[in-house]
Amino acid sequence: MNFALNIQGSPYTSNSLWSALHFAQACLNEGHCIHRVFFYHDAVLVANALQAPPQDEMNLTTAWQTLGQNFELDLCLCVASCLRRGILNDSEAQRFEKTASNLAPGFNISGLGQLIEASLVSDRVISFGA
Amino acid sequence: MTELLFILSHPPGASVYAQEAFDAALAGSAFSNIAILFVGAGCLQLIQPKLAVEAHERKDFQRGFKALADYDVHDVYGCEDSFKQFGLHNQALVIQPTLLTRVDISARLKGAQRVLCF
Repeated sequence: MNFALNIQGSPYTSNSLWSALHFAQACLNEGHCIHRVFFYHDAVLVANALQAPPQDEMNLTTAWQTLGQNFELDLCLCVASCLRRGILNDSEAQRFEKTASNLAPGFNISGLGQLIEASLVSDRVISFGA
Repeated sequence: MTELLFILSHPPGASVYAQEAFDAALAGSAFSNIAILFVGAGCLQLIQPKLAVEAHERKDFQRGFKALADYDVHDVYGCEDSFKQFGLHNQALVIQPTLLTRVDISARLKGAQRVLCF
């Protein structure tokens, strides 16, 4: 089966990204496909490259990066959610004349159309609420 | 055309979630048929905002509800139980959704092709 994931919760104040990570791992291990992982609302904060949680705690950013790399997942962030919350790639940083960008490698910034497209072409869309 | 059912459950004002969820629904309407269902505290979005909007502290995104018909979105539902819970029956609302009982909602969810929860 082909899944689309719609993740909305903040990395360290909600279980959303953690639950979604384990759901994605279970899906992929069972041989299912994930067409796209879409990060919306505060979930885009997972792509902040400047996060540095203690070493003996789970690092959600690297966990998603590793899963994305291993299974060649499309880890897509909503651009409007990103700009509101200060997640910028090089081109957005330049466009808004900011002094730095902070998008973690492995994630890409795109629009809501990607969530809609993923919902339409996948067999199931699973939302992980805020 | 595949129908996307958007379930909106966040109250307005407390966070930007309600506004962003409505943005997602509008994006959906550009690509496909959509229906919107307000449930729980999400029904409070239907009340016309006053103070925070007048003070320019918050965007009046609910004004966009009135334009839904222009986006060809005609299936707008509200949970009847939530309306009772929040006393919305006699309130002046931005738009009046079609109220659904729990049984109606259950049937609507079973028949939906794709459901996006916010």
